[in-house]
Amino acid sequence: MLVLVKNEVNKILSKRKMLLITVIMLILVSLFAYGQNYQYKNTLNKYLKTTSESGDVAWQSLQKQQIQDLKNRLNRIDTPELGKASINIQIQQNQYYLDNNINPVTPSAAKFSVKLMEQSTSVLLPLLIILLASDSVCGEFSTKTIKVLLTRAIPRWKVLLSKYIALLILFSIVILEMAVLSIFISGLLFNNWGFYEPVATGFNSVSGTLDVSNVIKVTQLQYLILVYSLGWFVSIIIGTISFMVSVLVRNTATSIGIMMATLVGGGFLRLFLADWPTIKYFFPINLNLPQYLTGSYTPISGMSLNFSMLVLLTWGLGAFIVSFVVFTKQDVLV
Amino acid sequence: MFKKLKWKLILLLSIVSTITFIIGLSSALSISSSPPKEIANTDTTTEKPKNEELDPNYYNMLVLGDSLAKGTGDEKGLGFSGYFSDYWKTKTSKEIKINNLAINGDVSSGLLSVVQDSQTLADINGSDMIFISIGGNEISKLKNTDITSSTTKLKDIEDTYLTNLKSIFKIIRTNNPSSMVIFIGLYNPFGNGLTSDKVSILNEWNYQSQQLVSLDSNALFIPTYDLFKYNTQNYLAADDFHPNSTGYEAISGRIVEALKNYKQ
Repeated sequence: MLVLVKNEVNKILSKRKMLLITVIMLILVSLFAYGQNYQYKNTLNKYLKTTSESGDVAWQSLQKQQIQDLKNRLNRIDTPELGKASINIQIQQNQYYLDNNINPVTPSAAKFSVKLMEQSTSVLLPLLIILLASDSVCGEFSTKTIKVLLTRAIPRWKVLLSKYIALLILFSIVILEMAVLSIFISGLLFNNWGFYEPVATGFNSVSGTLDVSNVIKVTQLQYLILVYSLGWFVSIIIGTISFMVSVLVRNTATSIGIMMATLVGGGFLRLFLADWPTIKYFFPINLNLPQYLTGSYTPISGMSLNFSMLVLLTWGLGAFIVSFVVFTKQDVLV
Repeated sequence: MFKKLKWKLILLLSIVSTITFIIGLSSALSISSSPPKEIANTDTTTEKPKNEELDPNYYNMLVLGDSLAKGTGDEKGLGFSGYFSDYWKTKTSKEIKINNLAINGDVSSGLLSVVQDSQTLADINGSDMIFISIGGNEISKLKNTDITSSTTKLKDIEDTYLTNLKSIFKIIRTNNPSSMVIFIGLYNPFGNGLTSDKVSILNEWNYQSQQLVSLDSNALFIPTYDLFKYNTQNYLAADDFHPNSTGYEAISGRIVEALKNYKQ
């Protein structure tokens, strides 16, 4: 079995996909880190009228002014009701940080890496995973190597399982790579690692107000691991679903297309059908898991981390079963 | 040889990270599903929130009040404090830091609660110069009210305003006896839309404020009524209420003029 898995890993590596993913991440992470740094300097300049490079800026006064700005936005008549709820939560969260002496503004490598994962769980990370997983089975059909693979004296489920395990191994590597890349690039750029700064998590947003009774303080390092674990979970689910699609269709392009359409379309669903409660059972809606840790506003009520993970897990299990049943039962005519 | 090593490395890394991620995942779940605990409370008591003292190596300017203090309407986003600090740079050897705590649409009672906040008190304490602009939102209702029927009501508004202003000054002075306080007077943004009896109310309002400010030995009242009287065309922003950048520059020019020979 291990030999089979090793063989599958080598197959994926020989297609230079990991290299492609690394290059994509390298470019994006550098751009994001540069942008973040630039934006931070701008904010400092705007609020404090200083451009001092030193690390010890008065973030309290920056934070206070930002709260005041948010309050101003709240008072404007053209702010939509939906936006007001989210601004309200933001204000309360900022106030909490201020009251508890936690610095959320000065950029550090840990903070940046957390933010990167938070932002990428709904689109970027799934896309990288799709890139990796979508041709795992149907690629064998396109290159006609499926014949060679299935004529071996190995049961079909073993062939499929080895492919699946190979993918799981590489998903872990992708997440690890993302963490390492973003920590190093941003750390070098910001010159501030910040692993042991405190961060508050466990915010609970209930109908427009923030529930801080559950909030606990952890270090940035612990928080980083939490967020990347959630990213890892998301990538496994997306990987499994995309694995199923690659079993069902015979063409790599179709497989990638289907997954991308689902992912992007799912994002739009959230915009257009937010009033429709059934929408929360679709998997693309539930991908943004880290939002539950930060306590940002969720437009659809009744969603929590446990709920979202359960929904994702159900989709993943379903996809897993379908792919094995179909693969072992289908006629292979090549 | 190299290939074998690579495979082992990949396997090892992925197993290690998988275990880490599973641990992380379970703790994330336990955080999000745990019932309200005492941890948060005990944590905050051990690490008392301390009010940050302002850095004395900077020249700290504090801006309080309403949208005029905020700089609303200025297309450059600076406000009078921004233009003034550009000038003040030449007068002080320290680097200037502006802390703008103004709130759009705020009235004197709102400013009083801002000033009473412990966070603001620390800022007041460390500031070298404090700007205040308030009252405009209380009196702007004037345009559409019928004063013959509501003179008493207007008097009430003015009285509360003056009491609030008095308390604001008192709080500022108990926390910071030495800083320069600059109070911006009100102007008439409505031009001829305001009848002469209402203009006289505005002037009375300004006069009362000025009287109050003049009781303080280190405070300055900057009149703006005359500045805007024949300049509303050029000094007001598109909303015909707030000043535009030229208007703010003019206000700042006034302050500059008044403090030309001021020694800190």
